[in-house]
Amino acid sequence: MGLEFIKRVQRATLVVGVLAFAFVALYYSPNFGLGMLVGCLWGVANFWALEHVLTAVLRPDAVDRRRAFIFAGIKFPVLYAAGIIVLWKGWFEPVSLVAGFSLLFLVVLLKALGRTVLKMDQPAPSKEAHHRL
Amino acid sequence: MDFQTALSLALPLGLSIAALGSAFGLGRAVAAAMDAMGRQPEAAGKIQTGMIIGAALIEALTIYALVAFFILQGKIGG
Repeated sequence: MGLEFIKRVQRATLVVGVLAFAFVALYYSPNFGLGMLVGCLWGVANFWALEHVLTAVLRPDAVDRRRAFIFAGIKFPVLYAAGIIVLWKGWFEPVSLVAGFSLLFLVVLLKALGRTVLKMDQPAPSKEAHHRL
Repeated sequence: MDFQTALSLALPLGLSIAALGSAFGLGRAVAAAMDAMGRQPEAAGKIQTGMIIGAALIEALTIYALVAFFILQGKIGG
């Protein structure tokens, strides 16, 4: 399980967010669905910025300061200000934003559960072990 | 103490406790990840992945507290 897991989680969350938006907007309320989509997009953008900040800072060799500052600048003032403005203005129900934001963690949980159930993180058995069986 | 006073005292207190807990948790997680990466640089990718997911989960708890703050803020001073 490497960094490609993070990329796959981000892509899967975007797909789930769009599907949830369509379903909720059609069967419950368009505003609630849009709030879920905005929450989902914010969560994915936040996760993407967090990934870049941490991979720039936490590395075995020298810290990539330029990249760390750029992504920290995107994450903390820009994304957080956008989130506060969306909450403050009351365009969407806060519950819809939280539901959309939580989709990312649902995807992480289900993907991790899938890997555990399918035993994807265990090393493949060698040919000798296979013959012995 | 009435409901309004209790809420106006508890809201900022609760949010600051959530922020403090998140800060301590993130600090410990990053320190442990740096330590693990120093011991096993070849496992940096796996450590970073676990670290990123852990950091996102810790951060999410603070964001939930912030959203709860915004929801309950409207009930103060009504």
